[in-house]
Amino acid sequence: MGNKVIDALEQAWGSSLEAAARFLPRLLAMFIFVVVGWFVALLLGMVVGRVLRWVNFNALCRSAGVTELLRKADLPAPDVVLGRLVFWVVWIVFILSGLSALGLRPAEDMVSQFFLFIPQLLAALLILAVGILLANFVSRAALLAAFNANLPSARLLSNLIWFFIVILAVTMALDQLSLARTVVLTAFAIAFGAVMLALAIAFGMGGRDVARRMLERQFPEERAVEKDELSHL
Amino acid sequence: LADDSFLTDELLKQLMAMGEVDILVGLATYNNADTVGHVVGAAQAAFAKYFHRERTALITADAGSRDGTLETVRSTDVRDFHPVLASYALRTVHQIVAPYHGIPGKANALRTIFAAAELSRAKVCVVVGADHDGVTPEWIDNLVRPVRGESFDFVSPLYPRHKFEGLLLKNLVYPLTRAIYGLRIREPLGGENAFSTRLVAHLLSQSIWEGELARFGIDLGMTAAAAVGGFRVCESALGTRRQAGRDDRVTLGSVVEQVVGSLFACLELHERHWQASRSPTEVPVKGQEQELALEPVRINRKRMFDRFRSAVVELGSVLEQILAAETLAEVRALTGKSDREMHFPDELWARTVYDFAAAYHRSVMHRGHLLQALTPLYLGRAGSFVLENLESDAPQVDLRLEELCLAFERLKPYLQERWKASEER
Repeated sequence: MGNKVIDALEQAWGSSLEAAARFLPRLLAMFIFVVVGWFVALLLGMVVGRVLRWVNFNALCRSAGVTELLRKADLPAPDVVLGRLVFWVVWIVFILSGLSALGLRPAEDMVSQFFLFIPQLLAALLILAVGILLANFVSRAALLAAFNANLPSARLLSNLIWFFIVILAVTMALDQLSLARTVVLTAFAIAFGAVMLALAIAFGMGGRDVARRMLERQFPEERAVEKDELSHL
Repeated sequence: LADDSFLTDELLKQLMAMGEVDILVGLATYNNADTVGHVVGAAQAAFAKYFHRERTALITADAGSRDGTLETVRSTDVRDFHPVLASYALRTVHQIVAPYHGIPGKANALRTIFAAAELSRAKVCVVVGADHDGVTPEWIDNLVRPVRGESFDFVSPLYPRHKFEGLLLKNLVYPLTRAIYGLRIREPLGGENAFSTRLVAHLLSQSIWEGELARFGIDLGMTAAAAVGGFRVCESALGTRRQAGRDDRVTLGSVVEQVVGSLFACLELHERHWQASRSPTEVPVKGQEQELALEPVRINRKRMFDRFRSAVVELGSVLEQILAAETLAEVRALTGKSDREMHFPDELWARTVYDFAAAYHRSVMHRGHLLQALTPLYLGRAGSFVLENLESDAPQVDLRLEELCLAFERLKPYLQERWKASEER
């Protein structure tokens, strides 16, 4: 009886040692992945930052209004943001590769899912970035054109355009990530419909006089308008 | 010839048949049937009255008119214009009508005229506007003589104007070009000009015939090229240039965008020239300069000031990206003043314009947007200029303009500093 217990203990101890002998190199490999990955990610992040500064990426972002947006969000300069993004993406890839090296089934599944997710994530980020650039450009163009055409509430119009384009871009980005797709699309459709309906009601009922004034200004009757007798050139 | 590929075979044939000439007058036309007959008649009368011994030619470069402009040019006779001329041209007056290929526009028309002048070895090339009927034979004589008799290379026109006419020209274009190029040319946007043979050759070799300048600012481009090239420049006093009927579709915003955009494009093109500081040179004036007209005119200053004030509020986020913080603070302080107290100081206006020029160079935003943002600020300055000169006589207005120009010249280091800072960012 005693011998049997000792045998069982020895067997269990042996198995544990064998499992530990099998697992420890993997754990070590994971640590190596994490540490080496940190260095590689840091290096790549710095290289990307340098290249972006070299091609004057910040000036491009400044002209597109991205820098202003980042500043309002209390974020650093665009080259720093992109450098950090590269750092984190690369390091996460190494960390997940390390987890995969452990040989644990759930970790392996997670890693494979993450790699499948990366292209979608990049596409979503691209959609968001382009959306913000477009929103800034179009809203500024609308602001200046509306102001110089002497239209009322130029800034309100410009802000509405900005929000509309950004919300559209966010919705498209979330749809690209397949995150709560039904909820997002339904919410967007409801919100968009509600805005349009509200505008229609407001314009049709509450803003009849405003609408009439605007239309009268847009299509004036043939009458003598008192013009300035000055020339600019 | 720098590049003759844009001349049609037909035009080349006509030029070869014509041979060499002494004086070539060129017209750039596009649907100017109402006025072109008068201009052609004036040129022919000038040939008969003042240059009857010289070999002369009149070239009309047309951009594809459909209103009978070319028929009017061909059928106009000097006797229609001046039936009692005492003298007649002793030599054949050549007349060539040259529809040109390429993008319609004044740049291509002028390029065609200059190429014709170079091929025919014209000693003087005069360009007159076909869009107004103010041209007289004396104008052409006044433009030709400084080149012919005094070896000037470029003759810039000088028109007597009302004190409130050409406010953008007086408050921005003239002071800025004078500060930048160091030449006191009061009509840098031209209209009627004369060119020597060597300036024509120089202009044909310049890069002004394409791009931003060719589209909207070829006159300014030619004036700037003459200044940068070190050519001998003078002004010639002409008569009143009656404005053609105002086109209501052309907004002030687009005028500012085109004119100031061209001027800023010139700054970039000639950066090396103006970065080297040099004191302004007087430009001799030929002919008798006429005084400014002073009669009262109808101007709604309140509307101008209202646009200015609401722009500073509504376009605040745009202006923050363009103006230096100090400049913006001073501009904002102006909005608190009443219409009667509104005074846009010369130095503040000069700094505002220089901030816009540096921001244009830095491309802080789409350049069209940037120029559109300048329009309401210009209205504030223009309204202030009108207010300050309501009771002024001609010498007082001249003095005010001189003070403004001096402010632009004094603050040129500010532009250089802002320009340089924009390159270092």
